[in-house]
Amino acid sequence: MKNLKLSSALLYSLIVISSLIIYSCSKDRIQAKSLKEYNSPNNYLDSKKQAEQEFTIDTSGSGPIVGNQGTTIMGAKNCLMLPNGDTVAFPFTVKLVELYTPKDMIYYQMPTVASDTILETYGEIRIRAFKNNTELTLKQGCSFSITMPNAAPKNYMRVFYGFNSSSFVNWTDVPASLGVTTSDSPVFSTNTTGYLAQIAKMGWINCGFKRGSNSNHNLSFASSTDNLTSVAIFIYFPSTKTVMQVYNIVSGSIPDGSSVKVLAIAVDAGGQLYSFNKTLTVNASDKIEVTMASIADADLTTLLNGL
Amino acid sequence: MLKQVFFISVLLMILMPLLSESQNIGVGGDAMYNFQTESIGAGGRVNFFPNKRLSIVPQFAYYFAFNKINEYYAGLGLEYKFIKKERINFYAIVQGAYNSWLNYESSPLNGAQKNNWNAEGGIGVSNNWCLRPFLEYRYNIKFRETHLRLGILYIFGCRDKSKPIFGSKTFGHRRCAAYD
Repeated sequence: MKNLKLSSALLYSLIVISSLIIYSCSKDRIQAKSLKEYNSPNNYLDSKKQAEQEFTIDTSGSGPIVGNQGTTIMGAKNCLMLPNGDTVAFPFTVKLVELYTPKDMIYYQMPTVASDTILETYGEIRIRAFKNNTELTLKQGCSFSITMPNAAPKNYMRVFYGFNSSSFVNWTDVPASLGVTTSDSPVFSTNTTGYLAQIAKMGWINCGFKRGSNSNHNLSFASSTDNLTSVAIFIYFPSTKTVMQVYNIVSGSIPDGSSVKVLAIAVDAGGQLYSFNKTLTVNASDKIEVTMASIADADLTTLLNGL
Repeated sequence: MLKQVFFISVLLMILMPLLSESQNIGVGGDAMYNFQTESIGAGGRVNFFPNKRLSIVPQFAYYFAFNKINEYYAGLGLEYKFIKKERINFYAIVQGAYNSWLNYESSPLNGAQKNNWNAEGGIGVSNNWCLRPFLEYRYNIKFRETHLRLGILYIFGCRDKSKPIFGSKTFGHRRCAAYD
């Protein structure tokens, strides 16, 4: 009888211990953990981005066009032309996007990097003109005047023009490389309200200055918990207000000594927002281990405002 | 590693004559299967004081290169016979071991490295024969893996030379003569 009780106790103990052990077992050494999957965050970012402002121009006037955030645009109708070279008749439409904060640049996914060289930047704007639904261009030799608001403008900022490069907008301060001939100064002048320049091409304009270095390193990103394929990753440089977007989980060139803030944004299939952020100084190539955590929209907005 | 094996072998050869007459030492081998890594291995061990309630068991295990995990362990274990009967023993095992994970670079495990220290715990069952089969089930705390070991241990100085090593002439369950 005593032996029977002992055997039963032993059997039950073995079952309990075995169950606990099996439950806590891991195949991590031979199987990659299933990573959390995300949808593209583009819909979320688009929902937060600055709206494009529209101005209908139906008569000659004194101008200027003034954007919500203080951008001004001055131009003449006879400087615009249709794609076939025809002149434009009233009315026509001018559209404007203003990106003056890293938050807005991130929402718009508009990095400030010129062919792998980071740009110190004080704003990005996009100016387009349309006749009906046809996009207009500036005639050769003509220009529009713009001002970009800034309380403490610097005297070395240059006019960078955006152009499509693969899936993102690249920047150049050499308009001739885009087929635009102009005698306008490539440098912004300044006054008490901000930066002033003549632009020789419609589209994206960046008030920028190259802050590249001969000594650069890259950051790469990996995760043992999250599939980063559909995660939007940005690197912000507070000292130059540069926004870099990371494509294919490897950053562009980061000058040594840069203090940067890494921010990753993702949205899962249920619409839940996730983020990851880290501050570091780059002096060598490094692999950043990313662990996404759910975050409320308001908290992410606060995070972006605090960049 | 070959040097270590050679050294242990020489040490055993020296110690064996000293210990063999008193049944204070057993030597054995085992085969093992790791359920999580789906790997097969083989090992060897020396069991000091196999008939006492507490045994000291240095052991070595190697998981072959054809497995998903190719590695070896060299460790020191303690076996405590919490049920010690005439015919059968149930024992608990704790072991600390050095682990050399030879193909760690191909593992998806974050932070995988070649040199590791492991602790294992488990239970086992054996009998009291001179040629003593045993079965053990162990849990590796570091890697969170379990494995089963099936082996056999030969107790030096146990055998009555007039009898088969499994006990009686009919391979019955007679315990080792020195068990008493």
